Amino acid sequence: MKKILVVLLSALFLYSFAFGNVATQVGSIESEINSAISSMNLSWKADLKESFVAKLETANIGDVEVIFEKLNGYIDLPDEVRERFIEYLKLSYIEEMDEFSIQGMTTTDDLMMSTFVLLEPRAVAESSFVRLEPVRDQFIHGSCWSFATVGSFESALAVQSFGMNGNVDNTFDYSERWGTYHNIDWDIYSFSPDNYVQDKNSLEGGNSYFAMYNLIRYGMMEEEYAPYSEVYLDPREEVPLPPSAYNAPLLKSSRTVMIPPSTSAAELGYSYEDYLNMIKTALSDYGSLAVSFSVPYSFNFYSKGIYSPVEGDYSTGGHAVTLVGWANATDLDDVILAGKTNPDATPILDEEIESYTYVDPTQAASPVFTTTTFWIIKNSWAYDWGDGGYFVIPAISEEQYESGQLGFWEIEGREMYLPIFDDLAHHEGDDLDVNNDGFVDTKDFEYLVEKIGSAEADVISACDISFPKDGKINGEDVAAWVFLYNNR
Amino acid sequence: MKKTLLITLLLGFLLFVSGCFKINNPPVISLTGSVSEGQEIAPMTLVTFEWEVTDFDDTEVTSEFKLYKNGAEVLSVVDTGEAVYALDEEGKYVAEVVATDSMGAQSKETISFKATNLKRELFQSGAGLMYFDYSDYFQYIEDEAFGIRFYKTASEEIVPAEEVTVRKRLNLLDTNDDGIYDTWEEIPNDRPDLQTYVYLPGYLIAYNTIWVPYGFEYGEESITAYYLGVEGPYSGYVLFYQFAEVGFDLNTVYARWIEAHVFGYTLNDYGEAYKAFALRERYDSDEKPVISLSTPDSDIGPGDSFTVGVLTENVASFADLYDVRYIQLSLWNSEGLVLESVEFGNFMSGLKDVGTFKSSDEAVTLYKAFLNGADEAEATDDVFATLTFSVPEDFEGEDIAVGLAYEGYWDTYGTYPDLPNPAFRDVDNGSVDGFIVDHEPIVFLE
Repeated sequence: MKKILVVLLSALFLYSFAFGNVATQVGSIESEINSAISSMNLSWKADLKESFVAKLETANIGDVEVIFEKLNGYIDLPDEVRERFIEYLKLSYIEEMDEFSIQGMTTTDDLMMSTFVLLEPRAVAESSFVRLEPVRDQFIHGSCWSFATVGSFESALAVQSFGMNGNVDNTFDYSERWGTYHNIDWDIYSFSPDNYVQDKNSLEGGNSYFAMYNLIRYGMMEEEYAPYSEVYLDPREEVPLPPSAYNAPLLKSSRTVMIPPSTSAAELGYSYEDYLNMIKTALSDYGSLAVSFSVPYSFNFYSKGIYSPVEGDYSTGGHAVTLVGWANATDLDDVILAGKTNPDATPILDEEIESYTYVDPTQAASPVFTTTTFWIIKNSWAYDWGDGGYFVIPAISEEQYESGQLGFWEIEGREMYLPIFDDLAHHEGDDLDVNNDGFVDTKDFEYLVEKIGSAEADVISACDISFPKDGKINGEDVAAWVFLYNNR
Repeated sequence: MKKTLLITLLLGFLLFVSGCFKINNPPVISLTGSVSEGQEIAPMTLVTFEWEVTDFDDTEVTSEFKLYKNGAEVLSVVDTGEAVYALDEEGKYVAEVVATDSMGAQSKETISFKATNLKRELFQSGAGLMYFDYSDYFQYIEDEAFGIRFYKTASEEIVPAEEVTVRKRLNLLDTNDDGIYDTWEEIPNDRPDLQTYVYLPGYLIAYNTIWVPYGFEYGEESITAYYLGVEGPYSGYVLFYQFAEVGFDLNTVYARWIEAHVFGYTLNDYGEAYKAFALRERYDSDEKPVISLSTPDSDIGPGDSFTVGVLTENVASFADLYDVRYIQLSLWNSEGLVLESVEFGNFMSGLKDVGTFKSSDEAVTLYKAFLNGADEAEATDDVFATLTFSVPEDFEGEDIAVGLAYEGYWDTYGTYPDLPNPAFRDVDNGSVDGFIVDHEPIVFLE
């Protein structure tokens, strides 16, 4: 009996020690961060809610830093993919690099690349656009990339297929679990000579680049068929799918809008205004975007305001989130993010500002930037993190766009993604008689190919029939013509 | 009065005529199944169908059920009201009930669906064209050289008309003595003594670094051992050594045995010596839909012309299964070559093929649409397109080469007339995955 009592007391002691340890750590860290925020004159606050801290403790990991490293599960594409040169595996591998070899379905980048499309930026007049969609909870897994991808899928489906203002009423709830079942095998990807993209059931880190392609080739099932609740408390990374998944209907997207990183956009000839408008066009006309960034340590403790890093910050891993809107500086005192769970919630800022100036200590020489546009971003750490589950960061300034000076924590440093749902309804105004001879026949098909690359306004007007329109004549328009010819 | 009489007579006549002719309505069919219209299922599924036929004219009705796979009948039953079929192959299926009453009136109901291996592979996460065989114990192997050998599963008709699964022992052979194993040899089941090991070093010292075994990569045409740098300037890097240029068939289960010692015991003592694995895909190794270029049969120089065929192996059938309606392929060519012509043949059966192209100095993009309409009269073949190039007399380039394009950058499209990466679109303009494009160029002069 005594032994049992001793064991029980020991367990209780260890539990309370662990419990107290995380909360104590959080309190101490927040105090340091808030002190730095104050000295740097920044406009945000570190103050995690008690319920969120209690959830961190259930990870059974004593070190707060390690917990957040686990949550920040976005894995960047290796340099060899982003920049197409390989120094990953040294020595004998390098000697073989000049040779191509036959590649297999499992999937290779050539097929993936042809599913990404650019978007024609339009001049967006709205100074602010806020779309507050359901905030999900990835809990203790590194599955943020699946939540960001599925969040964008739900939003895009609502906007493009039903003309709704996104998934604001939780009309659509698709399965992040299904997304993680088709994570990629990073060992195979890194070690195989041809970068095979091969599936692996894993809740660990991933990347929307691949997850978006899976929406096209596999499709997405609704939450009820493979609910995240199946894995919510399970510490394993490879949990089997529930039986309900096996005959679930799958909805496929058609293609993916890729908004290039700001430096690539500049190289492609887009102006700063075009770049911002491309993002805003995507958000307002097509749905919320899956974006990613490297997480400064202080970010994990954000509660409200305009986030930017503090002195001493460093990256604690990659994180994927969903960009849902933007706000002009003058509107920040009007926009309320936490209203859904807190009737007394207050706006992002208490007072109106014209612009915002901040120091970025993560960059060499700690440059100072001023901006008037801010991104509103949905996290997947539940409603009790941040400002009702959301956070706000400054958008890239024109000076940064021109100079390429970007902090590792800024979302413009990486690609942004958005699923496209093509259907006949999106082509109602498109005339297949592109050569205007009064007949719709194969001569129109040939005429369209002939006009590829044309910069003439009247030709673009007649031949840019793809969805979404990109202001160019290319194979996307030819494919759209074939689709419409066979289905009208 | 006359009018009234006339109308009365007319009505009487119509009444008489309608009594003479009975209008016979065709039977009404209610067809249901375990699959629904348009559904995609995995092969190896038992599909069931039930139907009821009602004839409101109370005549005798016969009903005939047929199941077609890719247009060919695979099952036929009459008047049973139900049918069961063990569906074990990919294909487009149509279940059809035709009901005929005693007066010859007919009606028909159908359910169209398809079976694809993709549907099966959707639930096989963790498998693909490559298998990485890793164990924490490998790096502690103590032998100067350790052995690895392989087994495979196969079907054998040991008893007539009965196929059973058996384990085959395999040897790796180096038939041309170049130091790389290039052929599998199956060992008779009753001669296990003939099975040999491939011996690999238990550690390596190279590039001033000590390397220890880390894992094995199994592919369709290669077996590669990985060594991890543990001490020296390349500590943390991986060095790999391909010791075989044969590999493993898709969708076949293999196993390996490693004879080695760790911590004074055999690997088997830790349960790590024997492991089964399989490379999995939606197609078998000999059914891959591959797009490649024809191999040159002679040397080419200035003043010559030559043709390049875009060949497709298993592509049309795969494209048909996944309802492909549009294919776009780009080829790059060496600067200075002149594209003389492009010819398209009849590639897809049952649809109207339309092909055209657009070229620039260093590339050509092929566009092929498969439209609803009359199919071409000529037979289909595996040639997607044939391109003819000429080499000018004053050609000064160092290379004469052509290749199927792949570009990983957004900003390298300048030399192409259009988006360079291969595109495959289905009837809904969705992208279709699974095609294999061989990007290896054909080189005539270098």
